Amino acid sequence: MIWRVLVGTVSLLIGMLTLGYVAITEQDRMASFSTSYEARRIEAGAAIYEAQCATCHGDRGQGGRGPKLDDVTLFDGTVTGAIGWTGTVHDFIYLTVAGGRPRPSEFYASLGNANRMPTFSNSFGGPLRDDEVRSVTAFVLNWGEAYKDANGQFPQATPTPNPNAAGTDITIELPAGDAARGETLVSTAGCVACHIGAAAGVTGPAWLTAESKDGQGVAAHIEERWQAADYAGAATSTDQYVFESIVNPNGFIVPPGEGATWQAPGPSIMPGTYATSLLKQDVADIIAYLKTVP
Amino acid sequence: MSVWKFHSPFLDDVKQRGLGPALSFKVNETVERVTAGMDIEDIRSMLRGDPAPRPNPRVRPHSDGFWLHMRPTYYHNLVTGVYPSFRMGWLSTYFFVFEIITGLFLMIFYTPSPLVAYENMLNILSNVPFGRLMRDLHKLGAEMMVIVVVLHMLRTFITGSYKKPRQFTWLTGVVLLLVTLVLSFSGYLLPWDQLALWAVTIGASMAEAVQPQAVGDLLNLIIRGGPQFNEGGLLRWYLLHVLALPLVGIIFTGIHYYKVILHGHGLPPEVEPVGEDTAKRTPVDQRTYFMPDILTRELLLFSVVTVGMVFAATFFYHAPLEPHADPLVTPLHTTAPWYFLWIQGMLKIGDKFLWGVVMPGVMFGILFVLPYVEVGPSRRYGDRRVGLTFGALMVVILAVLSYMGTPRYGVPASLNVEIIAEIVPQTHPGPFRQAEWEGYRTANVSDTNPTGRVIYQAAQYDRAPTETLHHILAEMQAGVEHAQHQYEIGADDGLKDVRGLMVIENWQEGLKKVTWRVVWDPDGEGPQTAPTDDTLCPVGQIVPGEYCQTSYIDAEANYRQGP
Repeated sequence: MIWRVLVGTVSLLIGMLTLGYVAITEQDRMASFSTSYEARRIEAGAAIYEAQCATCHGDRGQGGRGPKLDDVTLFDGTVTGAIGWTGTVHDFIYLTVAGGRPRPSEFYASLGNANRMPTFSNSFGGPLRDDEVRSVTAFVLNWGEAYKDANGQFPQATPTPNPNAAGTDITIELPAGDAARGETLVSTAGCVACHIGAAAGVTGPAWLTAESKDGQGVAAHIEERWQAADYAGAATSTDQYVFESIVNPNGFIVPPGEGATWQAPGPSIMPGTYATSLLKQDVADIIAYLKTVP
Repeated sequence: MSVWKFHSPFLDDVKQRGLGPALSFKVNETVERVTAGMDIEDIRSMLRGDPAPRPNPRVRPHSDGFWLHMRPTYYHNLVTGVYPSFRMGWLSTYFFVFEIITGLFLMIFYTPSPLVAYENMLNILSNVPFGRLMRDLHKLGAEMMVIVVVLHMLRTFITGSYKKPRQFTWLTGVVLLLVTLVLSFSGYLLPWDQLALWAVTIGASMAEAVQPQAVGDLLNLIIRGGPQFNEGGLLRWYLLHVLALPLVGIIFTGIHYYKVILHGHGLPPEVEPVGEDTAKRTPVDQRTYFMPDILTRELLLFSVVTVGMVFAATFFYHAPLEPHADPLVTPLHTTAPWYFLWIQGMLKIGDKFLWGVVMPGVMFGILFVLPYVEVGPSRRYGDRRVGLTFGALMVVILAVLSYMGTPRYGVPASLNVEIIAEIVPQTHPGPFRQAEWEGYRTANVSDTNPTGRVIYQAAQYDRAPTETLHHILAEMQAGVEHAQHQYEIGADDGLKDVRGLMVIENWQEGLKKVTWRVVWDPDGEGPQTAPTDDTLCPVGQIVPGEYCQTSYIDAEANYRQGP
């Protein structure tokens, strides 16, 4: 009996020590697995690249029918900045591999590559699973490693997100607005789809006086709303009120009641991405335009 | 006079005897209830090793409690040693419970969908504390359970314990054997890696062979959950694994245990008169009571085995994880799990239906009916020479069939492919990926050699500049010499004047590309390609006398740490 208790106790002690060892080393092990798995993604991506991508982009990314990929401008933000992509370089490459180019990119056409690119993700009829698209993305991104300096930075990096992007701080000083450019922008940025025409007053508040239920257009509304007693947003001027509505659509929603000409069905369905996809100048121009809407 | 009366026997007791005595009485009473019959003094006396008082309170938990009613009150002295049970039955149950506990942990982090199952594995390995340990324990426990259950059955066969009155116990045991095998097999599919997909594909293709064809097609559809293994198939194998089979296992374990209580543990065959079963007639002086002897032995076994498992899974054993399942890429050699290799071996003998379905069915059928057909009265070894010889023969046959199930037997090999597959296998890391990355030395980068390409000849492994290259090139040369040897002895798969080449290039920062080349003389008219030829693996062309494959290796891939 004594032997049984003794051996049992000693073995439990060994068990606790082993578990303690695992507990202590577990963080390092998990980190090490993540690092090595990212590296294995690159290896897998290299094999897929060789089979699927090399014929157009060159076996070492030197370009051909498709653009050159082993190029610092792709990784330091120059290309994404020129195209107007406001997300990360990784997402740009991932999206391009997955969805291809349904029509030639104007940017690359100007560099002499006016070709289209097929889709590769099997979500869009291509041959690759999502994990394979991610592997190829990791491999392509790995070309960028060679261009980094000792601090792991690109020497002439264009920061992302773009420093000229509007951002969510509505108190900043905006440049002078150009109402004519603003009128063009509300079409190209998609505003008019919900604020003017058939959907106005249904999907989003109507801008035009003629389409608004209370006989007042957006120019009048933006003047009044932020000064109303029940206003709960952060704006302290008409410009800031419009700024807030663009970059933070849920910052203030007009409560139901006498003054409301349109009621949002719950939280705003307006895209929340304008803080990064519009520049400061764009916002200033749209504000200038909205003040002139008849 | 109070309106209502407050009933508290405990407070009454405190009033009567004082707090201390009342409290200790209450504690003692609680212990007695929890143990279903033993109070503190009974437990202490038992642990001290006192002889059992009469009436013996140590048998009450067996008659009044739930857990111990499944265990006999006492054993015959002759069955408490290692022989005749070897503890295999106990260990089978132990591993069943062990698998349920570790399996529950893994279920928390698992979604049975081909879209995320593999990502779940990566998450368990990279982001769940103790995740790898649990996965390793679950896999190791599954392998151990198969071994232990099979050994338990073998032992029962050898000691003749399936004979009257334990026929039905044996039958439930065969059900539990099947449950164990299918549980282990169904768990294979869940990580959704290449190993999973192809091992289960082999299984499903056997079902497809069932005749008549309409039945085979239907079975195939049921097993795969569609024409292809996909979300439907994964979900139903998952449910089989976590719900249906454990349920059947629990029910039949209950029956199995009940029958052990009913019939007692069979004594060693040599101590009983022929044709009699005296297990339930244990003389008083031959009894070993469950409490405390058997209980402490089992607790000891429990802690030693558990610690052994944790220790092994921490330092020695890691469950494999192959690349993501891909129905379009068949690994070079797909094998069934080792405990089904014998079926794969039989498939190589002949017809898929006969050897893959009918024969295994007949073998399990024989197991099921064995105790009802083999009704010879004697359990003694000397009286059962025919049966024991037959059993031994079956073990040998299964071992040979299992060998035949491996890729070493009866698979027409293309040695040019095999030479490279030995170094960079598709199913596990292999020597190339596990070697030191820095050892793959390239030349200096120049305008004429932008990737720093170096061509190493396997034959010259002695002159390799680094230890790593020496090791890898020697491995390759061994394969090359085997192919040459096969040619010289006139085998079909031999290659004439075969040479191995390894081309290393810098491909990206921290990434090297290795092109493996095997060149030989395809038609006996002299070598086709000079070894220093720079045209490597022309894409989309098959050059007679040349086989190429590329591998990429990243500096940080670190295959030596396991999956």
